[in-house]
Amino acid sequence: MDKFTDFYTEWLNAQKQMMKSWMDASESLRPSSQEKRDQETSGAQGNWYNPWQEAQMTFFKEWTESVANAQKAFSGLGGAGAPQPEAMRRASQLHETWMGIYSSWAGSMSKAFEDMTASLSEGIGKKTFANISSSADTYMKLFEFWLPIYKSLQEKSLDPAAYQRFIDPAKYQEVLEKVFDFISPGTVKEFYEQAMNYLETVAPLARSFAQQAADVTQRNARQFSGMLAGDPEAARATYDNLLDIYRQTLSPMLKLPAMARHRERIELVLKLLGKYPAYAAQYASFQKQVYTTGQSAMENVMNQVAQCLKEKSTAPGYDDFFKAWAEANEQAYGELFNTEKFSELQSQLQESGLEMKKDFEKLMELSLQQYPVVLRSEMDELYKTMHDLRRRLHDLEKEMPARSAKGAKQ
Amino acid sequence: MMSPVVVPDAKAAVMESWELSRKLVKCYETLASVGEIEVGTTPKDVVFQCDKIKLFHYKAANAATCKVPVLIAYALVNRPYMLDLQPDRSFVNRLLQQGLDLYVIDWGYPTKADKFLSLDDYLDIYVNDCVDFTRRSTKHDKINLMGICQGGTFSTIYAALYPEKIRNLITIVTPIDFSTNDGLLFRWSKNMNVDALVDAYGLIPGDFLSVGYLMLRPFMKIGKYLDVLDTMADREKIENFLRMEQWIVDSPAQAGECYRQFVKDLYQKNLLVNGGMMVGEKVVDMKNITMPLLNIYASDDHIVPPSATKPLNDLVNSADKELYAFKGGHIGVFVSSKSQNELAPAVAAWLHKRAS
Repeated sequence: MDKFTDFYTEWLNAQKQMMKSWMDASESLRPSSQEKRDQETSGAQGNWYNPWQEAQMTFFKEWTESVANAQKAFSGLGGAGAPQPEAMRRASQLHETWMGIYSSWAGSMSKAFEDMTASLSEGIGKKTFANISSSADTYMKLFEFWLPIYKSLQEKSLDPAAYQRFIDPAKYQEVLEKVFDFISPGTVKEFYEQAMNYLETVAPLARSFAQQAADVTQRNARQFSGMLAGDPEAARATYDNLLDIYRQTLSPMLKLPAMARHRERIELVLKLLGKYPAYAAQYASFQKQVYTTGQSAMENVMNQVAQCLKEKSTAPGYDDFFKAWAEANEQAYGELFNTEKFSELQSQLQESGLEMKKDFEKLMELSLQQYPVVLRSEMDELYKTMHDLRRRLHDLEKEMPARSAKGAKQ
Repeated sequence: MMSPVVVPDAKAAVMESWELSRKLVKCYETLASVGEIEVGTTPKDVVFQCDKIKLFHYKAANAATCKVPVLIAYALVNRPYMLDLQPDRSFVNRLLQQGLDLYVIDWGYPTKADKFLSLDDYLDIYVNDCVDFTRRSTKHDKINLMGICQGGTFSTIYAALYPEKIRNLITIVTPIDFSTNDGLLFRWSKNMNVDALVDAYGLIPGDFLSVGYLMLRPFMKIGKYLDVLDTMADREKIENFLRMEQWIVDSPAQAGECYRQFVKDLYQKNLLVNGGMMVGEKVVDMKNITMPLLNIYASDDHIVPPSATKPLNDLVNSADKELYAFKGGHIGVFVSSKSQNELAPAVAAWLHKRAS
C-alpha cells in the first residue's frame, strides 16, 4: 500500500465510523411515539430535540475538522505524491464516498424532520411545517449538486457544457420528483401485485392456473419499473405481452362451471390490467417531459452561473444559485405547461387514471355485493332522489304564496 | 484547464446544512407554540340559510351611508374569508368603513350528498334566494351584486337572468371570455375530459383543484417556504403567513354536476361570448345586462388573466360601464395594501355615486 492508499482508507473508515456513530446517537435521542404524546400532554413538547441538536453540533464540528484535514492532505498527495491517473481514480472514489455520506446524512435529517412534523398537533401549523421541511429537503438535495459546481467555480474551471459530470441523473430525478410529487415507479409493481393477489383471493381455483403467469409477469414487472423512465412504448409493449399471457392462461379456466360466478370479476381485473399499460406509458411520457425540461433548465442555470463568474470574477453563493435554479425552472416549466402537447398529454393521463378508478370501484362493488353493506351506486341513487326532492320542495315553497293568493281570491 | 475531479468543499456543506437545520428547529418551536389561527373575524350574523349555504350580514361600527345593500358572491373553489383574512387586511372591513351594507354568500363544504347540485341549483336557487332575502330584508327592489372570480361569473349570469333585481353589477377578477390561453387553467381545461372526471368522482375533491393551482408555479412555492424560515422571530408575520396558508389549503370539494357544466359550457364552449348558454331552461343573454357595470381586473393575474375578464364590457348593454385596472395579482386584489387603500375606497365611491 502506498502512502496515498493508506491515507485514503484511513480517512474513509473514519468518516464511515463517524457517520454511523452520529446516526446511532441521533436515533437513540429521538423520542418514541408514546414519549412524544406524553410530552405533548405535559406541555413539554419541543424539549426532546435539544439533546439531538447538541449531538448534531458535535458531529458537525468533528466532521468539519476531519474533512478539512483530509482535503488538505489529499490535495498534496494527489498533486505530487501519487501517480496522476491513480490520484484521479482515488479522488473520484473520494468524491463518490463523500456524496454517499452526505446523502446518508441528508436522508437522516429528512427523517428527523418528518418525525418532528408528526409530533405537531393537527392544524395549519403542522401542514405548514411539513411544506417548509419538504422545501428545505429540496433545497438541500440541490445543494448536493451545487457543491462540486461551487468548487469548480472557485477554481475557475467551470465548463457549463460539461456540468453533467457533477450530476447523477437518478439523484436529480429525485429533486424533481420532490417538487412535482410523482408516484414512484415502484407503485407500478405494487399495483400489479395487488391485482394478482386480488385475482387469487377471488378465485382460489385460479391459483394453479395463474401461478406460472404470475411468475413471469412479476419478473417483468421489475424490469418494467426501469423501463418507465426511458422508453414508455417499450414498457407498454411489455405490459401488453404480460396481459396476453394472462388471458391465454385464464381463458380455459373461465369456462369451468365452478368459475362462472367469478367470471365478471376476473374479467374486470383483466380489463383493469389491460388499461394499466396505457396509463403507465402516458405517465412515463409525462415524467419524461418533466425531466427533459428540468435538464434543459439546469443547462440554462449553468450558463448563467458561468456568465456571472465571467462578469464578477467571484463565484456566486448557493443562495444565488438556488434562486437562479428556481427561476429558470419556473420559466422552463411555465413554457412546457403552456404547450398544447403537454395539455393534451396531461388530459390523456388524467383520463386513463379516471377510467381505471371507475373500473376499480366497479370491481369493489362486485366484491361487496354478497355482504350486507350499502354500495356506492345505491348511495348515488339515494343522493339523486334527495336532490330531486329538495328541488321539488323548494319549487313548491316558492309557488306557495302565489297559490295561497289565488286560493284566497277564489 | 478543467480539473478532472472535483472534491467538494465539505465545510461549506456542513455549515449550510447546519444553518438550515437550525432554522428548521426554530421554525418547529415557533409553529408548535402558535395556537389556533383566526380568520374572518369581522363581526357578522347568519341571516339566511338554505341547505349548506349561509348568508352572512356584516356588522359595521357605524350605520351604512350607502343604503342599497351589496351582496357578495365568492368562488366555489376557495373560502370567502379571503375577503376578511385579518383585521388590517380585510377588504370587507374597508368596504364597511366606507359606508357599505354588506352581505356575503358562504357556499359551505359540499359533501357527496351534494354531488348532483347543478349550475341551475346554484344560480336559480341559492343565489336567487340570497338576492330575494336581501331585497326583502332591506326593502329594496334592486340590490348591488358583487361577484369575485368564479363568483363573478355566477353574478354576471345571474344579472343576465334577473336584471330587474340588480341595481349595479361589480365583477372582480372574473373570467368571462374563456377562449384565452393566457392562463394555464384555461389551456388545460379545454382538453380536460370533464365527463370522465365527474363520473369517476361525483364530488370533485378539493385537493384535485388545489394541486392544479400549485402546478401553476411549482418552484416559487419552494422559495416561499424557505423565505419564511427567516421570519420565525416575528410572530405577527408568522401568524399572517399562516392565515394565508390556511386559506390556500382550505379548498372545498365541488359538486360534480355544476363543475361539469361550468367546464363544458364556459372553458370549452365559451358560451357567454359565443351565445347559447342555458341555466336550467333559461337562456343567458348577456345583452340583458343593462345596469351599471364596474369590471375590475388585475394586470398581473396568472389565474384569471386580463384577456379573460376585460371582454365583459363589450358583451353587455350597459350605458354606464367602467373597466378598472388593478396593478397586482389575483390574491393581491383583496389583501394587498393597495387593495385596502385604493381599490376598496374606489369601489365604495363608485357605488355611492350610483346609490340613488
